[in-house]
Amino acid sequence: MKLLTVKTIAGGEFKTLVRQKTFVLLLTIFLFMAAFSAFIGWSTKNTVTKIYVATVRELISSGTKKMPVNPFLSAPPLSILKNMPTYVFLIGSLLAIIIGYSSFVRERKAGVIKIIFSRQISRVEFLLGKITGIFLVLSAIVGLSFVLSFFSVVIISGQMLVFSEMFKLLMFYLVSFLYLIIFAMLGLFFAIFAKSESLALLAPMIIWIFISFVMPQLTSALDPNSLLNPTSIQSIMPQSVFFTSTRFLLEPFSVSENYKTISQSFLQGDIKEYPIFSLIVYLFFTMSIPFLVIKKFNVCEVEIE
Amino acid sequence: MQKIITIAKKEATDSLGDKLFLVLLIFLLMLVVISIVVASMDFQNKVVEYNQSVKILESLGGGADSIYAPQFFPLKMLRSVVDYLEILGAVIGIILGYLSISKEKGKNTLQLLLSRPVKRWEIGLGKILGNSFVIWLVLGIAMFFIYGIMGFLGGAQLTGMEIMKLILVFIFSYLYIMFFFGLTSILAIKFKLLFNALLISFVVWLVIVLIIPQIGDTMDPDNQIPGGFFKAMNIAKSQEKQIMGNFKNYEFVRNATEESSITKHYERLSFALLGVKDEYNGKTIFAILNDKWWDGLWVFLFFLAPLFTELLIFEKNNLLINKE
Repeated sequence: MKLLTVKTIAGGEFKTLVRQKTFVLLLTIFLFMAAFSAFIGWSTKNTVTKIYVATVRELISSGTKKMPVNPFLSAPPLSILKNMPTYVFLIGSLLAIIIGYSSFVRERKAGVIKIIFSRQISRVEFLLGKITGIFLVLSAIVGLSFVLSFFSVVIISGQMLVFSEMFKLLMFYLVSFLYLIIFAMLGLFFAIFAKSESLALLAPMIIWIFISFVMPQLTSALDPNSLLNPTSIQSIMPQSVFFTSTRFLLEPFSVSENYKTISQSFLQGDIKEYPIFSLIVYLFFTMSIPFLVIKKFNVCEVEIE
Repeated sequence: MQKIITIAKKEATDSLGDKLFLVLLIFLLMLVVISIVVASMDFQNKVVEYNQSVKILESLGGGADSIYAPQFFPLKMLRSVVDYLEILGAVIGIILGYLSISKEKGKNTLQLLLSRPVKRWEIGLGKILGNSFVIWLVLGIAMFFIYGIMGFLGGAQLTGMEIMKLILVFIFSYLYIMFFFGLTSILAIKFKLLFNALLISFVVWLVIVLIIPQIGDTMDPDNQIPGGFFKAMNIAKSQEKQIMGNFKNYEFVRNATEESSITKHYERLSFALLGVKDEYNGKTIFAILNDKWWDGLWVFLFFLAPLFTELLIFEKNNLLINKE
């Protein structure tokens, strides 16, 4: 394996992706959402605290003596970013699918795959270069979002984050990076495997809908829109045989739910669970399959439709 | 008229023969089945929980008056079906809109079509009608599935009124899906690179269907803690309304955010018709529409805007210079 070849392909991939207008558009949306997430979190927290005060006043006037505790009193500073996992899960995943997808479809459409593979470049080296390029681009996006989120929290809360909070924020973005890799690899896999451009884009999106909405619905009975709320409106999970069985079977593999649980642990501090198993399984699986399909990829086939 | 029908027939045949479309249709039907099964299991779970609570209360010597028995409303089980129509129905609209233009651009058949004695608006209208037929077919199959599964799974026979409500939901689902069809068609005509048109459509889809409603939901004070904020504070509905009256500006911003999305209007109307919110259960269609006419009007306007624009583009623009 020639490391220089891998490095050259990775560098080329990084530059090309960064130059793409569509990529820039999605990146802008993603970064905007990172900043917006902090703003919404701050605005909602402020308003709900005022609502709490108004509620207490109302309770006092109606003669209630035992006052409920303000549920936001113990919320950590990072909790204003609680919308961010939802945006990673929505916009980030789509962005990652497109990055993975376009990194191979571009060459297929331009018809340069035949030329590339006629050189002394092995398919594995080519793919490793592509994957490294994708890693670089995604780490740049995640890195920028981290910086943006960090400054948003510091500016909004008016105080510097302590080391433990900074570490939690860093860990949240690290897990988000791994989560995005899964979808980028799915995009890459279908870009190699699918016969048509539209199917190559749509197939990972269908899988995304299945992973993000259908699997959690089967385990929690929550409808798809409720799953987007960072605070679960459901106080307890259904306990029937059907749901306990689906939870037992599907939950370890419900990567989006597990990602949200881990993120909540880091950002909101209310759940101390780190179900990392599904993330490892999906990462291993999605990173292996492009290597398997590239070996069987027929360079002589007609170009992608 | 004959020319429009010919174009519409060709459009419908092309879409129905496309593998991509079939994949989406099968996936949608699968989601319909899963949604109804999960809703049915969830209802059974609530009944079991209720019976257990009654037993506990009785064993403690008290009555079960303080808890409400879950009531079965078959249409309520379709809540997730509407959610999936919001998400996947919109994707179907996008794919149909994209395919309808991309096949002409890709094969340069638009030039050939324009060289025949057929008016430009007739081409546009033929495409809209052909794809409308396809969407109605999809919705018809989904409705057939819903009717069959509800009867088969829960033994729930829908009444005439419930069937009428379901048909109305599907009429508004058609308007909703056609909005995305029209939008993507416009983008596909206007953009030189078809892929960019598809991508922008998906970004718009993400923002309209998922992000805007999510922002509105997240800003809802009651959605801040599991189980609901006001419930946790032991606040009655009347007191809640009184308190929220002091936060009109905040509620206005939250509501305006939601109102900017066709998805939220479609959802509010569909949920009312299906009785997802208990207050609408047992109400007549007229009473529901009287209450939700504003949402219906918005869905209708959202439906008309891109389709008229598409027809205008077909009529006014030089379609040939935009070929890829």
